[in-house]
Amino acid sequence: MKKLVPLILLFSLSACAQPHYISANDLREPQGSQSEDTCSLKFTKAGICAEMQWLKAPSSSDYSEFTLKFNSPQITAANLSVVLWMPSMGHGSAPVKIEDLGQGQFRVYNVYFVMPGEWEVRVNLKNQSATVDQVFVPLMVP
Amino acid sequence: MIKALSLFIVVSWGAIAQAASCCGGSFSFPALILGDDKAQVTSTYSYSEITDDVLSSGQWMKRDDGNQSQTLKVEGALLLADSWQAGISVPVISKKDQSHSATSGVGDLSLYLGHETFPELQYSRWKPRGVTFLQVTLPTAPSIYDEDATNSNKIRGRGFTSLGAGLALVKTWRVWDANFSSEIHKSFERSAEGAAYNGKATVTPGWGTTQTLGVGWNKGDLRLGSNVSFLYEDAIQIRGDTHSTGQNQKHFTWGFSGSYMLSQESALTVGYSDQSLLGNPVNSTLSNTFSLSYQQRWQR
Repeated sequence: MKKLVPLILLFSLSACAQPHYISANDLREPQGSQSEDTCSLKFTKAGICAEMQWLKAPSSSDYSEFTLKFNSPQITAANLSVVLWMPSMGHGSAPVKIEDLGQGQFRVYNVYFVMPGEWEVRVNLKNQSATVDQVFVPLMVP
Repeated sequence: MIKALSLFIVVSWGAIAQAASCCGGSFSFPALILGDDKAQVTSTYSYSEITDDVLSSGQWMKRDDGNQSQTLKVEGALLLADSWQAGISVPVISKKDQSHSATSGVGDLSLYLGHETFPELQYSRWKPRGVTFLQVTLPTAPSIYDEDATNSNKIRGRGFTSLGAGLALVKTWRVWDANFSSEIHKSFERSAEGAAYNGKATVTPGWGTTQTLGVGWNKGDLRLGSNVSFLYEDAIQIRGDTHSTGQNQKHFTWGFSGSYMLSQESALTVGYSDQSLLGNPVNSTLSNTFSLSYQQRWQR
């Protein structure tokens, strides 16, 4: 029995969690916010480009906000849907609000990520209820 | 006395309400009648704080948003016949964080049917006493799949109907006792719709399981116990106007409890559990939980 004790202790230690915390680099500014490429979001089926600019960085503790600028002025709020999606857990978040600024430009606000982690901003171009094209923007939400 | 006290270990199982990957309770073992009783009521107050989020890659993120929940769970069990029992679990949950004020309400209700499949008719050095059970959990609380769940504090349930089957075994030797419980459950498909889902979506969860192993040391009216629990949930798949394949979830919980037998029919249990100490969790929200339970039993 005495010989077993060190073995049990060793097993207990090996079973301890070894947290590997995410680095600050992984929490850098989200994709699209500082890109000089004006076609950072490519809607290949629709042949349209868009640029995404965060006005208020994504966070799970406060509302965020960003703009979308399409190279096609024909895009209206009726053609656009933005979904916040957590692919690993299979759920979304509270619906965002979209303000049409005209000329294919939009302010997306009320952006609230319900928890920290790996999220996607899913930008959908729609024809009535049907999704015509979509782009997923991955980001890490602190 | 020791034998009677060891039967209260189920109180500490019930206190370990497993935190789900997102926002609501996932699964907790029912407070089964394991002794020679005709009825029992268990009331558990628990206070939890989320400490970490673990991504699907296994990387950890420290959580410091003051996400706290308090749960008052009342569980009742009644003997229906010599070997059969039925029970209900009603949690009332209050959640808050630094950004949102507290919201409260009923969580997901659970009903169960238990059978004393392994009675202890005569002394055996190795044969445990045990109960098998069926459990159904109903989505009675708001979940992440409801459109009005606009912040995490409003989310108190998983959002799925689940059917589970399990086994709980207890064995005592002198001042020591050991317990093992195992359950497997299937959660059923549901729909979700609204702007948050780009229209309509079908949400398909899968199978899940919880395995718990514990030991206890008894002296007089006091029992000190420790247990380790493992939880696994299949990935949640989404089809429809938005889609994703999901990622399975797993984590371990380590728990410690102290019980004091106030009388032959009542006991008080203090427990602490931590989900950040053991194993390699994946795709999980981890929390620490402090709990206080009171159990009243009525003998046959």
